[in-house]
Amino acid sequence: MAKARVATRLNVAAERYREILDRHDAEELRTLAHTKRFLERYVADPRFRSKLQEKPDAPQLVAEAYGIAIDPSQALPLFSTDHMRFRFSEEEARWPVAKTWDDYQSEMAECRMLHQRAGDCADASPRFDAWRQRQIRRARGELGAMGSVITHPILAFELSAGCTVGCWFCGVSAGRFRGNFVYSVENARLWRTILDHCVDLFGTAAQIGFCYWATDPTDNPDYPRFIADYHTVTGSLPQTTTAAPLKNPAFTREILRLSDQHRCVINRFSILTLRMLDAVHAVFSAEELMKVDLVLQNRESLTSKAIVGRARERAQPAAPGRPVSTPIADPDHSTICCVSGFLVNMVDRSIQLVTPTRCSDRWPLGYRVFGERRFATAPEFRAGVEELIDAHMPEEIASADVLSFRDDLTYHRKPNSFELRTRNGHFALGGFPGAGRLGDMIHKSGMTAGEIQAVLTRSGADIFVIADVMQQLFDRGLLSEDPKLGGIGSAVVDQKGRVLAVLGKSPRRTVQEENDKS
Amino acid sequence: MSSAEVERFVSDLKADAKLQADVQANAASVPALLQFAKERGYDITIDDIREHARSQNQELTDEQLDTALGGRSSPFSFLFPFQGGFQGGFS
Repeated sequence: MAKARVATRLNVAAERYREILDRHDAEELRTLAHTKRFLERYVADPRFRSKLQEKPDAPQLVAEAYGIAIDPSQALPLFSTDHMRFRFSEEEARWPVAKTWDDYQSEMAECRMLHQRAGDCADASPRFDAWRQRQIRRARGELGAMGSVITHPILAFELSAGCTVGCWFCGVSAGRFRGNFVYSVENARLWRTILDHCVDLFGTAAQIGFCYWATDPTDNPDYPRFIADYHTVTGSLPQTTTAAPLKNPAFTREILRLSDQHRCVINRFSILTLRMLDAVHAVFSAEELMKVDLVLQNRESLTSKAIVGRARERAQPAAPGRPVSTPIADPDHSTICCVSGFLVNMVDRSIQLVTPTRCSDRWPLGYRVFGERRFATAPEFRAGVEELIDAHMPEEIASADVLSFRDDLTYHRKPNSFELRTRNGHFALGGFPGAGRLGDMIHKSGMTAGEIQAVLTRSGADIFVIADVMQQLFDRGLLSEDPKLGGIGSAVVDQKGRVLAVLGKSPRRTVQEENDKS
Repeated sequence: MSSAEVERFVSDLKADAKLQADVQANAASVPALLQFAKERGYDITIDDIREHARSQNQELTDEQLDTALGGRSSPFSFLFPFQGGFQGGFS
């Protein structure tokens, strides 16, 4: 059994969040809470938007009618298209409410980056950390704008099987509810021991996890006890997202109370209908929801939906004569997955190694699954995690690895170099003999690292330069690790490191074919 | 330890087909190459290899725009940074 180890370090992101809030006096916090409520109402509710347009000289009266205690004319850059250019500029000070809100948002963006960095664990688990850093770099390029806001938590625990909410747009296509992981004596012991193992394996990075996925926390009445244990063992209370905050307001308030008590990063409620927004605003005060993001999923909302999972199925052409409900599309909002690490279902006793990706026919749920293990006991859980690390997280390129660039990259050959372009950046490599040809061989795919190296060294390239450059390409997440395309880390190996099978397919070319060209 | 040993290995590799075949089969990465060379009597360190490799004028530039701060197309994106952006506006 893992050595029981209560983490003594606090969650740095949660601490920073608390510092941000503590810097504001009560009046400023009230302004922020009501600005937030104003924006929620504005974004979600077309009636509210119409009323503001009807009374451009008296927006405060419109806001007051909804119990919102700010003067919208002091917040114009936040919602008026004529004023948005002033956001984050010095001139924004002319609208003090907008300025206060945007200063707060800038601090929160920094907080989000702290949350991502809190998952770093190079000392505790160097192989896992190197893998996660590659996934973070890959996601930044592959997912466009969304790629840089994902925090890549390392753990997600499902405390139920399936979900009772059944959102039509569910980005992870949650299945029907089948049951809960009950907080029995035996299960509680298993849970705490598994968390002990996580701390033992990943150190304080184990704090960066949460306890839902294709599940809703409100389905499990024992959810508050499980997350309280998570805090006890790791030193951090997990963030909560629910699409049913009104199912049992006392339950929801208990989660909010725990969040206040143990300092938690921001929680989230998914808002499914305008009527639900009305009810949530009626049941919870603006101040209560200051630390809760409302994810405005109602059909009237100005927000875009991720076209992934069930929303993607719904966006496909319908049968003849059937109406199609097509969500607002944002091409960069293509996954709701944020975990680069282990997705654990405590009912089914399964562990999957996952990372976010752009949804496609290949990955319709917006995340890649590298492998899966089952467990019955805590030691088996640990063994499963370690096996997944061993099988899918090489730290260096092996001679037998077939190299190819990520399929989202665009390849451009230059005379003695090459470039790789992503949605939001580019990489260029050159300056040494064989650079262009190296790019060509990886671009065309099908050759192993050893074969590429041999072709290039035979034509005069320096073997150490080639090895160093290939490793840099790998470390920066530019080489394919997609398990369905036979990327690096797809190989199923036995305990002696022998390759038993390669997941996915990759066209194979021979070294002779390449040599024939030279 | 010396760059001379690195040069010697590179030179021997060009001249020895068997050595080339062994490298191709076993040593694609820098650590694997290091072990391979050491096992064959070359006195090389990881720092020698890195210094040698990085002195060969290789240039890998990496330019990614940080789209988290204002790089999104939607002007509303910063209201709720944990979510996606949203379209529309009040004028």
